Amino acid sequence: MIPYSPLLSPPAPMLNIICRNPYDATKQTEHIAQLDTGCDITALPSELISKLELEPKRAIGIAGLANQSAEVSLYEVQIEIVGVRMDYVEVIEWAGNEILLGRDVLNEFYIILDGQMRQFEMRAM
Amino acid sequence: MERHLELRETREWYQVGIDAAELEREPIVLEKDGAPVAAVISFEEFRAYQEWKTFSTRRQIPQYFTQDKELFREWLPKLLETHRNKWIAIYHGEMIDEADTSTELTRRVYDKYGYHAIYMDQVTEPRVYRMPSIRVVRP
Repeated sequence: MIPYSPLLSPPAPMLNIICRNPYDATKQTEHIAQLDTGCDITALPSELISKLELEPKRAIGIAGLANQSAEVSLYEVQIEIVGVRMDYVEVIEWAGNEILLGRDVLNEFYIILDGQMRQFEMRAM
Repeated sequence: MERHLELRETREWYQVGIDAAELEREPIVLEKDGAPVAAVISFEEFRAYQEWKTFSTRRQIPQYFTQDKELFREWLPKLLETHRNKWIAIYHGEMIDEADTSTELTRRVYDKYGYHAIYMDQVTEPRVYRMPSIRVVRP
């Protein structure tokens, strides 16, 4: 089991994941990611997009709270979570500090949230 | 709108009356000798500014990519009749390739043109993705 992170309040299921430029594996970094089942798609902090030198591929519309919508660029990244590598994951850029793992990624895993014990399990199905 | 406050030297300290509720409504501009020297904004606005600053310092999207994206939007009604569900690549105003899958298209396009900003999208009705996560801002 992985303990919830106290970085957010209330504590949240977060873990370190590896991100790579899918076209240049030398550009890689490890970063904290939050499991966010509210997100349709995974989001990377702007600093990671720059650090990995990812190039935009297309643009999509996103809607947040109150349904206000915005257009954002979409990038491809390779991610590695609990030993599972996923190639060419489409991600958007956001202004926060942590990666938001959306359902596009989370739905590939078996996940149990034990909120009372502030811990979770995440593994390949 | 903004409120202007004149600063006066009082040894080393400046004294400024700040009301949080007022800052929520408008910034306060601090002046010295009639010229603006600083502005006081609410902490929430400061946080929003920091986020914006981080966001705006990211690498710029090339202009041709933005133009190619606009072209895709313009061509979409016609493309839906001729290329529905296909993936297409537009580069410097021209449709350069098409494929049945994103992976097939990107591999081929990057192999031929190198890895850089090239607009590649699926010919389908535009979808809006939901990102409703709410964060409580704590000062």
